[in-house]
Amino acid sequence: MRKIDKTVILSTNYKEGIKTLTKKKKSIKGDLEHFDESLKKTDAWLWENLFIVDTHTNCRVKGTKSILKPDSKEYNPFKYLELYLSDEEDNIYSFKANSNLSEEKQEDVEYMIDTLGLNCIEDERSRQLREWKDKYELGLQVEAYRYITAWEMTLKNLRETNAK
Amino acid sequence: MRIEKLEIIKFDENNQIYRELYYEGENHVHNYTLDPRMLTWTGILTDIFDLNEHSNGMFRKKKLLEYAKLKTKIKKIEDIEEKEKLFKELQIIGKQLGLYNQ
Repeated sequence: MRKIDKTVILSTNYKEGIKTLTKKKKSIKGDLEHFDESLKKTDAWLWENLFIVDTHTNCRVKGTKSILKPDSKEYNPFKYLELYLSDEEDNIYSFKANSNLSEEKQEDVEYMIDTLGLNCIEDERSRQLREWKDKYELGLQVEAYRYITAWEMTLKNLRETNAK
Repeated sequence: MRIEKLEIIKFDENNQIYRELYYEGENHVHNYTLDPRMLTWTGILTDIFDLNEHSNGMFRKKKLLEYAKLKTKIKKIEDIEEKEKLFKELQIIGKQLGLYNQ
């Protein structure tokens, strides 16, 4: 679902019915989905049952495993995921299954990481983490507004390293 | 893009064209010695297209040194406002080096 930018629909942006505004859209590309699909028939617009998924992620092959579903009661990314340095040369951090899990569970998690595309944005995420890591290590306040799980894991690792 | 098998056409010392194969033995089997799908962009340029690894090394190394020095300087400063001010400079260098997002 795209958020409507009210400045786009102003009459001053149209000349003889043709849009003249060439403003770049800042809206996100996302699809509206339902947590509980069974409510779609009767209560499709129930606010609490709606969430937005990034279109790119949503269009990928959908998995059948319920593991890593954020709406699941047992959902805990720290239990299932682990952030590791996947490419030392380029300083890329990626998610992998938590090594404390059983091998079978790890396979399920790896499958879901691929299905959900959690590592599709690893370059951008790693650069962002690097900037925040620098900021944190230089004694400045970091206000993470995205990649929250990855940042919390980075912070945990940093604290553990500093404590040693 | 699907890469079936990698072969690159190159020039030899006598400017004659030759094929460089990145597999050994038969074709159409999984026997790559070099596979671009597993390399970084830099790896593709250096290992497949023989580009000199250190072609922009001088400029980059200088900037990396500037980045490292500025980090050390910020770490030593205690005044938060001054730290924040210098961190903005570090962000510019970080972006130039591709260490931070644009």
